Amino acid sequence: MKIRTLILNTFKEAVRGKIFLIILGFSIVLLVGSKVLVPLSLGEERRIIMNIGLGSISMFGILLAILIGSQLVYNELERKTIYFVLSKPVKRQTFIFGKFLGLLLTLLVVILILSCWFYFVLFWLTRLHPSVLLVAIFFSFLEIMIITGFSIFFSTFTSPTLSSIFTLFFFIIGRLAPDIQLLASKIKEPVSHFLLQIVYYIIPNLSNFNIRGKVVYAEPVGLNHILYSVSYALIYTIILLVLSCEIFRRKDL
Amino acid sequence: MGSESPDFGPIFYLSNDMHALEIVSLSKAYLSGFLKKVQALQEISLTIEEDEIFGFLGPNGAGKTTTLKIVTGLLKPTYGDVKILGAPLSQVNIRKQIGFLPEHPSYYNHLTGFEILDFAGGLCCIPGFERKKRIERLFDRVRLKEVRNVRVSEYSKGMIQRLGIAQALINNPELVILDEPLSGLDPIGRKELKDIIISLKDEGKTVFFSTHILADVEMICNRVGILHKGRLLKVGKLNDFLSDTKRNVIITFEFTGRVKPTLIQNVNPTAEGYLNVTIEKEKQNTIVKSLQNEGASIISIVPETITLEDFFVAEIKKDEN
Ligand SMILES: Nc1ncnc2c1ncn2[C@@H]1O[C@H](COP(=O)(O)OP(=O)(O)OP(=O)(O)O)[C@@H](O)[C@H]1O
Ligand SMILES: [Mg+2]
Repeated sequence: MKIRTLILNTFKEAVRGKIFLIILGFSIVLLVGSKVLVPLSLGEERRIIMNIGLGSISMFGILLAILIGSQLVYNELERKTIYFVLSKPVKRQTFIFGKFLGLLLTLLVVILILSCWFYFVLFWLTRLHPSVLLVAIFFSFLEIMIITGFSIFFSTFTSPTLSSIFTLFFFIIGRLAPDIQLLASKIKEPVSHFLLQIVYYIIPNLSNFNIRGKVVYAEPVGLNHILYSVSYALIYTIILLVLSCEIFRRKDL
Repeated sequence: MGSESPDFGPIFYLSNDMHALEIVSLSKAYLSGFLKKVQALQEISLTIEEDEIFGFLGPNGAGKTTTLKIVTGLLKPTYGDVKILGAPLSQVNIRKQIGFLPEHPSYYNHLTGFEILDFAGGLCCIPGFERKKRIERLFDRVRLKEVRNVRVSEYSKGMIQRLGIAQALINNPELVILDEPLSGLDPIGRKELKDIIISLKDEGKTVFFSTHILADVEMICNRVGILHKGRLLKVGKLNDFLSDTKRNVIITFEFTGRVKPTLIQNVNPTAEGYLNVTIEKEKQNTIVKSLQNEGASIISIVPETITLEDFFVAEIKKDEN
């Protein structure tokens, strides 16, 4: 009951904030983008719309995860609402998990709304509604979950600005993970090789979660790949959350 | 001997030797900046019995908030031990038995007063139906019924403070901890809140509250503790403190002779044209006699009233020397 109360409150806070502006922004970008680009696409309109749609769902999700996530814990400290919450019989871990799940619920709802709009635009312009795109959206959601974990992790010990920057940094190098591995394999010098390998194992390999190209070209996505990605995202996120709880538990408020 | 807790949390049987709050050798050092320490509390020991109203007095920066935050689990003590209703701080569920009003509280601006209390009730695991009933009763008690569905961001300072009292009472706590509950309230609000505090005691609850305003404790507290620079200077009944202190008497006299009285210094004229001198009570008889010998007629001898303020200032001065 405690965690449900925390989740719903976080959700309410986001919904009563300016989140709908983001949704509105997305809808306009998608619609205008598709309308403008489709005539230029010479028979490729399906792929163009799919790419724009899937890409922007992912981007808006990441953006929200970073913007809201990096403020979640900090705002409670700044506005002193934390004293009110944590003087109740609530463990600090429960608080962190409640905040995280509340934001995740918010992002899920936003992504569902965006996806509906995306399907509507796609169907309207091309009469297509391939369900395989949902798998790509689900994968984006997994990636967004990891990013949410990062932004909450950083926000337990830094300001929203720094937390956003760090999270953005991990997002970018996470997407470049295969390049880092490639680089590591090319470098012969042992120390640098070793260091790059370590970096590669620490950063999240977000390229796992990009199957947008695949689904747009109707390539199959293996069950193994799905299972692997889901477990990877869950484990990575849980590690981040456990670290966040450990930091937050020690904090003097 | 046991009184059953009416709450939905764990049931505690209160025995005779259990205290509402037991603080033993509590110390707290804040780390401020790099490796620099601020000793906010030094070896505080304090026991609060059930069913009393305890006033925690101290000037700004004395460490009142620090103590209360440790008791409510918001801060970790550097050293020492705290037991609430016999249970250690680490037992999170013991907080089902306490209600806390933070200093300068603020609540989620996106929620209405009702939603704040509903949220607080949820965190205390009070089932929905019971929660609604309690919320209605609390809104009556703190007189916020008309604004129950207004967002907290539109509340006045006094309303916020009253909402804070309501949220602290949502779980029907045994021990109510209030950090400067009377700050920001107008005289009527203060009176109402004092009445609420007294009624809490009548319901068998223990109230532990901090303040730096002495008039607040005078009327309502059974016992007070005086905190200064992180040390507990005195704990006890207010009346005992005041009767302990040496009292002076004020002698007012009229002097008609030409020669001024030689025996005493610090003679002040009064507004009525008499003279006034303040002396220690033991010297009263000698001084009166010699004044009369020199030709003065005594108008009145009254004990000097020591206000709590004077006492407080005296204690703190004593501590600083
Ligand atoms: N987070 C902190 N970091 C460093 N020092 C702190 C911190 N919080 C409080 N202090 C210091 O600890 C001491 C006690 O502060 P505390 O807030 O407990 O006092 P207080 O009695 O509540 O005062 P007031 O009446 O002003 O509320 C002060 O000297 C204060 O400067
Ligand atoms: Mg204080």
